[in-house]
Amino acid sequence: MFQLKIKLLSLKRLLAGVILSACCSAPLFAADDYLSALELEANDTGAGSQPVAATVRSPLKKAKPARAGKVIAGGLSFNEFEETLDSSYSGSNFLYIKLSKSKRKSVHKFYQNDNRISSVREEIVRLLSSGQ
Amino acid sequence: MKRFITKLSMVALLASAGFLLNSNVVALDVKLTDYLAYLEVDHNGEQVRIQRIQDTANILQDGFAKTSRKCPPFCIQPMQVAPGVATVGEAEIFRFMERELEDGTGIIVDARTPSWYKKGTIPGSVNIPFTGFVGEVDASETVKVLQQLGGVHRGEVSWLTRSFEKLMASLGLFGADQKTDSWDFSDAREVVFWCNGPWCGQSPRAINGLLSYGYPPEKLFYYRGGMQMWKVLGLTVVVPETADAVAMK
Repeated sequence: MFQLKIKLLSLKRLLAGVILSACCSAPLFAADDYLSALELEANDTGAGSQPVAATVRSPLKKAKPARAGKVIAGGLSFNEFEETLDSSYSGSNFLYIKLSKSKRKSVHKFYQNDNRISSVREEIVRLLSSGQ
Repeated sequence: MKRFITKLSMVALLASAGFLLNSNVVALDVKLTDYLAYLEVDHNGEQVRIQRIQDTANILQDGFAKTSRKCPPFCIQPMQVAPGVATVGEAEIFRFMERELEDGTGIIVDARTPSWYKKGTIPGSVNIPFTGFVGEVDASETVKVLQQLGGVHRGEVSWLTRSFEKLMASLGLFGADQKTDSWDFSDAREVVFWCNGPWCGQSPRAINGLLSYGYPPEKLFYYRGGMQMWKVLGLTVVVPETADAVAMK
């Protein structure tokens, strides 16, 4: 009977110790734990197949915000784009028709990302001055 | 009367045609703000365009669509991370990019660890993990980070000078409140910190670490929305080619 009491007492002490240590450690989220939790979560949060918005990467030039301005109608096919240039933007078209077919296609591709006439004109001039 | 109605119909027809034409002329249907279609920033020497995904049916499908993470450690952060530190949103970030980032008086810090950073970052950001802001104020790592933000390490400062500065700081004179025993933050840059979003504690830790070094709180900004909101809005993300090479530059 006495041995049983001793065993019960030691069991209680052990239990108290476990509870006490758990209470002390629970509120503290050690820096190392935080870092390992971050790493685990980073693996779990994949980049997935989320499409990213179109990015334009080019040699650095002064960044400037783009505001809505004079623009060519959006969503034109290559032929429609050429017709629009011819009918409405004769100045730009004068330079545009000097480009090779492949460069014209490239201008059309550029227009799909940025349809401001000023930008399209700049692209035409850039391609012309690149000597191709 | 009949002629009047015919004229009226013609005007209505022209107006609706004009409206249709007008609705088709804007290149980006999903602009950043009502006045800004897109923005271009320098990201490691390259110009990157920040715009939104134009597909209006697009739904977030990657890990940032996840709703629940264990808390702690991934607990919801307060709107105000520290006294004197302003919390900002995307529109303020765009303005910061146009002004302070452009003229070099500001810097945008991705405070996440490299494993997060390499998955994608906000264009124009520099990766300085929050762990760089938790060391001793004179540790070599800390010195490097503070210098990167425009702080000047002062070295030995006499007791008399410091007493005078403290007096002036209490009076709000001579910018003395921008100086500590070992650092001068008078010309330090304005810094926007961000991490994964409202559930992320990495940028709050970085901000609080920086404040503990004496960095002026009015020069710090907390973008609480972070990558979570950036992605929800379909904004451009750049994936660094080599995270280690870009981090700490």
